[in-house]
Amino acid sequence: MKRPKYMFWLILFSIFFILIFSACDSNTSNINGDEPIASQTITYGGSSWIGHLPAYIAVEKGFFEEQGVDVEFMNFSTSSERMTALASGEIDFASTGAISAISLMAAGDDNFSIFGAPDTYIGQEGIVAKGMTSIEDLRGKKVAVTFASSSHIMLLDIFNQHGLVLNKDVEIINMAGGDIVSSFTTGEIDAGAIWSPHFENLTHVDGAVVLAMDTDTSIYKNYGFGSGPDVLVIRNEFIKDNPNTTEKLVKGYFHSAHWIEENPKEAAELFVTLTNLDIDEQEQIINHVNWLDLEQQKDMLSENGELTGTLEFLASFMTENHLINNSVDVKEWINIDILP
Amino acid sequence: MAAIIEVRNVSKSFETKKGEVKALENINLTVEKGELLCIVGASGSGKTTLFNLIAGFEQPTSGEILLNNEVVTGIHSNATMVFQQYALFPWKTVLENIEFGLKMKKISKKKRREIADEYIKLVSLEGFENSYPKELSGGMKQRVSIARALASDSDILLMDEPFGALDAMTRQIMQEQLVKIHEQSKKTIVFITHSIDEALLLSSRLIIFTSRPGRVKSELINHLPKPRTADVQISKEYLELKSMTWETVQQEVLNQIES
Amino acid sequence: MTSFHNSPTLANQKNTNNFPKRNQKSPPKRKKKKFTLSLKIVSILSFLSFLAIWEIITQMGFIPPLFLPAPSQVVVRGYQMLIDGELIGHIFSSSRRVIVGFLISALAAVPFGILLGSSKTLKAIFDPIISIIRPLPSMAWIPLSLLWLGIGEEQKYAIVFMGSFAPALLYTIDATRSVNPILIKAARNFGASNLTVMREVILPGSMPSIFAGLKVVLGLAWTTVISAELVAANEGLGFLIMNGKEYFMTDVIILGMAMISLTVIIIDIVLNWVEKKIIPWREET
Ligand SMILES: Nc1ncnc2c1ncn2[C@@H]1O[C@H](COP(=O)(O)OP(=O)(O)OP(=O)(O)O)[C@@H](O)[C@H]1O
Ligand SMILES: [Mg+2]
Repeated sequence: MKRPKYMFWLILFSIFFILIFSACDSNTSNINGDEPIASQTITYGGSSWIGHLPAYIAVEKGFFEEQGVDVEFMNFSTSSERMTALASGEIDFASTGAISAISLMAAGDDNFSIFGAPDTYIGQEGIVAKGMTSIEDLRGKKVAVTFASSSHIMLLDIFNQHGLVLNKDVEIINMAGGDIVSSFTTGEIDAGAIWSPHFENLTHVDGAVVLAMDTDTSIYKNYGFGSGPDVLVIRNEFIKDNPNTTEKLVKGYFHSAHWIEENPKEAAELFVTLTNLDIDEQEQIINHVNWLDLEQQKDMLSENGELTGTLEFLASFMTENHLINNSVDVKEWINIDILP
Repeated sequence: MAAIIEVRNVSKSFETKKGEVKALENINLTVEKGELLCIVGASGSGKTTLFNLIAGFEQPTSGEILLNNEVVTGIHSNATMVFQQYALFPWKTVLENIEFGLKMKKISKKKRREIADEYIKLVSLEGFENSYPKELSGGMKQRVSIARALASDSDILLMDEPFGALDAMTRQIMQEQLVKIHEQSKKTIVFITHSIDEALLLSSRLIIFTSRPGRVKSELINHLPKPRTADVQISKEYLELKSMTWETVQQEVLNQIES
Repeated sequence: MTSFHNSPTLANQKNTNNFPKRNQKSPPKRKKKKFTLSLKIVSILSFLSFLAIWEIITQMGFIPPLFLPAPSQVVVRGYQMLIDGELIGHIFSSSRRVIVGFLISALAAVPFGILLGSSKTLKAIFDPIISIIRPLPSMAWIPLSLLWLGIGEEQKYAIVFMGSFAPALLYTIDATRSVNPILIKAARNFGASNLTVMREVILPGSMPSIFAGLKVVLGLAWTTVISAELVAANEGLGFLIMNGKEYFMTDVIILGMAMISLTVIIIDIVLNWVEKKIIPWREET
């Protein structure tokens, strides 16, 4: 009587095994298998954020097409979602927040490279409070910030500078931008750290005082970058399989960045379809940004370049503050060889 | 003797998805005080329905029912029902179930316990006082249900196949007990059964229902001598009565199956 | 069991001693226990082999840990977070939110549900409101709860409450209505008033179904914990998962998920025990 029962389980487990294996087979081929050939559509991960302007313009004005590559612009609402798509091979290259890129490095993903930064834009980003005049006044108060954002880094950096200890001297609360504005208005929180356009909304609240700005961070003081700079990332597999296409892609991209410097008005006209901003306002923002060209990239990402320094600083800062669990050597992800 | 239950021209129909079901048609019936009336009829002939009307759970479609000369208009506690499905409270122990009727009569805790103990002994459930119904067999549940009805001591008992789930021995003993209680207490008992033998053993009068819709097919005064011992049960008189009843019932059962 | 031999007779009252006593372990019962025990072993084995297969597959290196870390990695992460005290904080925060939110909704829904279950008129009055609230996902209450209650714990309780109140109410209404009508008739037949019927029949009679319903609702309450911790939370298993997503810490994400399951399993065991204590008469179905 015992035997058939045993056989039953054996068979059941074998089936289970086979199922799992076949499932995992299809998985792995998805992740590591052969990737698109040059004739296929290349996908860029973007959003309506200003840092994506060069890629957007390159698609719209046909700068990629001129190079003979077909690029699709795909929207993502957060950097982490965009980087998840990059890690799973759904997109090929992107501009993304450095914090998210470093987090992905810390998670052990070495299948992508950083090859540049679209700009050195310092957004309107800062800490706004009510009824106080200095950062020290935040002692014992509630400050809201979006966790894992550039403002989060900015807040930690500035607290470090003033010797404030998190969750001991100051209570910090994780909230999305819109929620920070409404809670600040109702007095639910004492201060908020946030970027444009929520930042402006915060400053418009009665009695609001700006306690610190992005430019007060040690990152900015040392490297001239904001606490959450955008970086250009690309999948290594893609570079390996399509070296020629990669070169054309990079050329098309930086041609677009150069074109924007000279034609801000036309760039604004195109970009407002994505941002829904007023054309003049959009043009102003575009002019305010310092677009980086191909030559500047090589400098900034060199051994002692500002961007390299910024990223290294950020990585060790994030490790020290226990935002990530592993230390990361950012240089291993920097690849300027693909820049023509 | 005084009429304690009067059923006057009562008909009852149910609205169902398949249309109207006529359960009872023009029933006329008088139960005298102290009678032990047995009702025999095929399954589905409306016996339980008649009890539900007498207890006031449902209202007749036409006609009326009087209890002690008062028209029944709703649920009342003048006639205690022994349900075909026992209807024990699963959350009450055997003891608490049996005490329920007494509790409703606001009898003191101590007195309740005494009376309940008496009836537990009567139905031979000593040792199960604190068991829950789920721990009892079907026959044991049925005995609890009988004890609960007897303990509440109302003048009228409506017993719907109360011995159906009992084994032959227990059944016989319970029948003897019932006859004894009836003789001593002068209660009025209406008793539904499928067993002609049981009806002949217990009843002072016997009513046979037609198959659906239920009507009173025939009525029979049971003059068999008491106590109805084994000797009585093999007497010529008994056997004649039995075969007569059986023929009538058989006809109705056949009607029922054919329809 | 209902054999002739076991039935007591008046003729021989001593026979009653032959009945199996309640506390005595009768042979069939023990057999059943043995069987359920072996089923439990099967469950445990199946779970262990699931973990083993998962471990083997991930160790073979086809799947990067970013997509699926090995269970051992999750355990190590769990152990680290346990030692630095962080994990307990997350479990405690979420459990408190779920339990408080759930208790409030149970305390409100059970009496209200019994009322609605026993009165057709009341039910008709409140039906439209219930139908409106019922399909709303707990996430939909985030903006309003923030406006009305701010960002404190009350807001989190409210999210759990809104996610569990309607189902708790519906389960209670159903439970109340499912009380066998013949029992109500029996009670009335003995002269019970409406109030007595409520106390003696409807309340105890609906208890098993209410309890079963509340167990399901407590599980549902846990599903709202992510919504509850989406805004202005720095702690909790929902926060742990969502924050893990921002930093691509897949092991932390799986740890958070496993902790939710584990907590629910433990609470379920406790509830089953409580159920046996307070409803000893429950008929197994
Ligand atoms: N509430 C109800 N709704 C619809 N039909 C009903 C209802 N109660 C009884 N009936 C129908 O009325 C008829 C008589 O039912 P009743 O239960 O009175 O029969 P009975 O004589 O007690 O049968 P049995 O001997 O099997 O108990 C049946 O056909 C039954 O289907
Ligand atoms: Mg019946």
